[in-house]
Amino acid sequence: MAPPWTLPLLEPPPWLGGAAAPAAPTGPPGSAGNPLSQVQAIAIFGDLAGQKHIPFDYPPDGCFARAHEMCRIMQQHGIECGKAWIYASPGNALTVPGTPMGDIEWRYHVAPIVNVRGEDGVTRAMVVDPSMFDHPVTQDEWKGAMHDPGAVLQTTDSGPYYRDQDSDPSAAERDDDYSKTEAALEHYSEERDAWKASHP
Amino acid sequence: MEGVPPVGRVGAAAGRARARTGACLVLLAVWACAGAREVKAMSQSRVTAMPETKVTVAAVVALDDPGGAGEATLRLADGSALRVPRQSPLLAFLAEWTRKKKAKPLYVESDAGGEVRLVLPAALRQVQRVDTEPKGDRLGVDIRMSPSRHFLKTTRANFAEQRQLLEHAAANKQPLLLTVQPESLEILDARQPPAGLDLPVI
Repeated sequence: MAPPWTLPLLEPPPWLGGAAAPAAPTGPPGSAGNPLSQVQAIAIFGDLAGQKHIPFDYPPDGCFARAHEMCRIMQQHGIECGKAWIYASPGNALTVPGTPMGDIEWRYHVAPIVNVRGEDGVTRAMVVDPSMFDHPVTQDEWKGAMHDPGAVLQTTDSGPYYRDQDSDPSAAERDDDYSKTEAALEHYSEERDAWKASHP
Repeated sequence: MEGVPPVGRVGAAAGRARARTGACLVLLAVWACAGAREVKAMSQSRVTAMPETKVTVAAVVALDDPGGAGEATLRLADGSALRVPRQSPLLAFLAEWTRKKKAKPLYVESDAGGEVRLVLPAALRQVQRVDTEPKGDRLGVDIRMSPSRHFLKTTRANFAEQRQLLEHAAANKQPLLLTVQPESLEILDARQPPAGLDLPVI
């Protein structure tokens, strides 16, 4: 399951696009005290997007499992990540037009976030969501792509597998052994493949 | 048009009477022909839009493939034996499914000739909420953890039964074996999981 990382998790030299390293990084890569460079973030995004067992091209369902699996892979490689959860405003839906399955409406959506230091030297928690983008994006860009200005965006650590809006952290469902994640990813991959075979 | 009498060279009154009768008959004949065409068209459209479809939800027992140009036979745990033509894109999917010895039930739609038309894996899901009233021909259903809103079509023959099953499952937090159509998000089938089914709730 280990992805073939294309870049080592080292600070790239400035001529490769890396900003000057902070004086003393604290915490694991991807944490606020030790953000990834943009080059690293893009490389990691590409490696995650290439994971064949994660059905990124199946937007109707499974974002919770995709996010949990991406966090597992990042953590396996020492990268700290969290999750961004977005909930549609009352009476509305998050809308994503032009997906591989047509125009999609969601009640909520979730994807991993990781701290990245921008060219301006500012650290931002960027969203890693290969089901919607081909590169890491800011939380504002991510939210804007779902066309519900009143949607509520909340962030957590990587622990919750599924949570309701504003729910107490103790009420969140967890999947610490990743058994639910594995079953869900397998099911949505099968559902996608069966649908494609039935509608060539 | 054969039933329209010729007016001919007759007396004026008789001619007018015959003309009125004839006109009525013409209208009657035209109406009858149009009506017949309409009935025929409706019948054809029904055949095209709603072919006789059989639904089975069961685990796959075997896929008997004779090879060559012959069609394969999909054997399900409920005893069904369904046709899978050689050129069907479903053949490769079902071969892979069978090779992996999946215990998960498959939702299988077949036509009147027993040919497999649609397969989808069923899954144990928790129904979170069922709308109290339908909107148009759709009764909204929230499946726990799913970001999409699903629905049950009110025009289904077994709508009342399926609705009751979903409402009961939501109230009692009991998982159901659900099959959903991935694009429209219609719940195609809901049923109690068979005894002994060892699947995680997703």
